[in-house]
Amino acid sequence: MLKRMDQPISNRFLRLLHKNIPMLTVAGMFFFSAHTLAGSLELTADLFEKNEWEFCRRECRRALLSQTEPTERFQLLSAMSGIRMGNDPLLEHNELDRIISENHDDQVSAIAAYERGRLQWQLEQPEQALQSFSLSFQSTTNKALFLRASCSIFLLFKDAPELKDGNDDLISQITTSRDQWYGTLFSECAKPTPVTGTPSAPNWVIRFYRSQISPAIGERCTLEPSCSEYFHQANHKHGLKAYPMIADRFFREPEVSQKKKDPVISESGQIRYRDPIENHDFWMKKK
Amino acid sequence: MNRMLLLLWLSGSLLHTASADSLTFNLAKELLSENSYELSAVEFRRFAMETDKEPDQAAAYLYSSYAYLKSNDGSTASEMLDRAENADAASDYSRDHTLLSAENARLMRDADTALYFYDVLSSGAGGIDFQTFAHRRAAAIYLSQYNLEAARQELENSPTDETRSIQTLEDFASGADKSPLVGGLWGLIPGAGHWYSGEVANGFRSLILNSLFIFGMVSTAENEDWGAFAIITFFEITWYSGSIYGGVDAAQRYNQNRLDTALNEIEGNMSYRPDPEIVVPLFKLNIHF
Repeated sequence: MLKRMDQPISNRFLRLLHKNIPMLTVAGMFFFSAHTLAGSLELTADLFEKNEWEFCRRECRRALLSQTEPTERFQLLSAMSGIRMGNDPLLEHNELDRIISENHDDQVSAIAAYERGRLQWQLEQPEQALQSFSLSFQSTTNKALFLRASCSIFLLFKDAPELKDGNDDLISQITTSRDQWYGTLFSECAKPTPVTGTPSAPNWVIRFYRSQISPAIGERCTLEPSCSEYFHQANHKHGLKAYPMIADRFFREPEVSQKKKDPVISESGQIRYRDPIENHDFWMKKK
Repeated sequence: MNRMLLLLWLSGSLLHTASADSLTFNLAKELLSENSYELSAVEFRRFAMETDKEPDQAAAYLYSSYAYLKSNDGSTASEMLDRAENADAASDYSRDHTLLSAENARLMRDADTALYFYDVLSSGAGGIDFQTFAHRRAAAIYLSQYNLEAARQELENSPTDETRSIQTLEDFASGADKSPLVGGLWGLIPGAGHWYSGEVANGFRSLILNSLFIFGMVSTAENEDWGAFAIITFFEITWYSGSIYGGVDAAQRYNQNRLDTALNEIEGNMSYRPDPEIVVPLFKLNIHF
């Protein structure tokens, strides 16, 4: 396994440099023969590229249960979808460990090592992350992954400068690929943030209202979303314009509820009337 | 020997039918009938991959694109339409393919492409229902672009009597939009921005709230109670900016409502969906008015 690790990096780099890969995207890492994908793997890779993580994972499970080949790629896609869905990082980490140690496809191992490195970086384990990125960097034959791994190592060194000690060879190796890095590569390779699945935290005005005022006066808003949620969404989308927007909503609230159009049942069982922010910002540019 | 060959051929045909009428296809159709569009789209794609019959593949990709369209995923629907087009049997479904392409372009807000496909559909041999559908949709697009002459032309060319829709178009033309700029300027006088667009009660609420808070500002300033003055001023700035914003928003909503009402009158409850009676993997859209 991972026989290419012992090849001189400079030779591999020159080889990879002359490969013409116009688009280096996350999905681009799957191109490992994307044009030859067929059947279930084609559908699964398609769903992955479309960010349909849940469907992709389900397809992987189906393929693995029916023992459809190549199982290692389905395992990898399943783990990668799980990470992007925000599943327990430790579980996915163990799964990636298993994929790296058990499979016989170098390319799958290289991608799994890169994904494991990102997870470890997210879990504040920079030393382990460096090892994983190095493994991926030194074993891949895919140019997209080669550039990603080198850029991630570069950014990891910036994040944890102490790791540079004793890694002069690695630093010189990644510098050789720098002229191939492109603008968005930096954001794509930056330290991953945990997937929480929840929207951004409300600002202090909403927090104060929800913690101090709302419990005292009860749920008074007759519209859906509630006024505090409307303000939160407006603030998130349009910044300071949220203040005139919420003021205007207070002016309009009695009329909207009097019309009794589009009733919905709120979580508390109260009947409310739909007045989404989209009805009032369709003519505005987003922040 | 001949009997043997005949038996083999018959059993082959039966097996073929069984594979075409597969579980995956039936599951996909069931999910579609339950409006689980995303799930259904994936199942149709799986069926398209599983089958080696080109006509079934084309039909499955069309079903899939329909399901993606229903789930508002225009880019994947477009991809499925391309795949259906690449299948050998695509010509069998050219009418339905054109309709789905038009609807997809409409969803993606690509008016020119949508108009092109509706034009193909309205001039083709798709039947009166398809032609009427295409003319009405095209008229609605022109109306959204405020090209009333072209919209009228489309309605006049429709094979169905569109007198009511043409009347709606004339009513729309005789009305006038409200200017958001003027609404915003009127909003400088609290409440007047809302009144400009006919929202009388909202305007009064704005006037009352602004008046109360301005009174509060003056009163606290006279008493040199600067803490209360700051708090009341903060709220008054919010109400006042709300009055200006409300003037603009009310005008925009007035215009949008006017346009939506006219579009609803023209398009009515038009819809299209695959024929539910078809059990084998064939694709046929039915129009409903």
